[in-house]
Amino acid sequence: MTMQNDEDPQTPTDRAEDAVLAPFFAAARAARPEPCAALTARILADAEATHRIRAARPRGSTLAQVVALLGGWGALGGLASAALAGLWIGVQTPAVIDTLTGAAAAPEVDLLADVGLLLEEG
Amino acid sequence: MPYDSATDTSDAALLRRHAAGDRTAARLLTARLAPRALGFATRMLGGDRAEAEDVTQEAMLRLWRIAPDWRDGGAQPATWLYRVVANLCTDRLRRRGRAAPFDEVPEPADGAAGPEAGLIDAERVAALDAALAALPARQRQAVVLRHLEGLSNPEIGAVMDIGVEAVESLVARGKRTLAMQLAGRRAELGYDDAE
Repeated sequence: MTMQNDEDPQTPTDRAEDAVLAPFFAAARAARPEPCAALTARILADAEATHRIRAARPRGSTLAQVVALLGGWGALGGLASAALAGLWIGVQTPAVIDTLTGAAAAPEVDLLADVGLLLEEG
Repeated sequence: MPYDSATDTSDAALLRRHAAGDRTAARLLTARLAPRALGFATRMLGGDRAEAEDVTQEAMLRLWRIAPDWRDGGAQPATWLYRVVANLCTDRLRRRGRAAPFDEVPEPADGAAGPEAGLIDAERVAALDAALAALPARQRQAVVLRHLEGLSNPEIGAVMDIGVEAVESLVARGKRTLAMQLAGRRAELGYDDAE
């Protein structure tokens, strides 16, 4: 930032006012406080603290943090694929599923062929 | 010449380097900006050094917090800092109930025997502080930024979010009131016609 004291238009009144004020402004500029060592140390300590807090925080948005907890986008990709597959299977006709699983070509096995004999014995 | 982030020492570049963990950048930025914040806050708060230090520390803390989000093309860090200091000072003065409007400031007693000539500058600064405290906040900000902090009118406009003409008007009105307040105290405060 630059010191530019000559850009204001000057009327005789302006000049008279400047003449009154100039010594007061000069005294104030000469007395401009400088930060003491203690203040500087506090400011730098704050800088260090904010940087440490930022570094310790998980990076990215809330969504990115959730994704990280679930194992990353790769794991989520597998999860999404499984969910989509389940949805697709649920809406298909049984014939389609049987074809896919090979059940349509498999021999049928009756696991309860002799259940009638069992019931009679009881 | 290609842009070289390692040699760019602008305030914005230092702020980005601080966000990346560069401790030297934080020290350089503090050396550059803390005096400005403290000088401005001290005059805005009527010379109260302790409160001005609190405001300075708070303003710099807010700067450190937004460092990772700082983007080029907008305000300069110094402009942003001055604005934060102005707002913090306004809040503190409002809580104190300070900064009485001009027409509530009592006139100096006629013929009062003032201090001897050759008063130290501290009392002249105190007289200026008292006169500044009587100004409306926006006039006080504009006059301090212009004549004590050395900002140009466009730079003040950026701090106060107003146009250059509005800055000129605030400065002119503020100086007129200050001159009326202080003209009667020049002899009392050791100024002669030659100063």
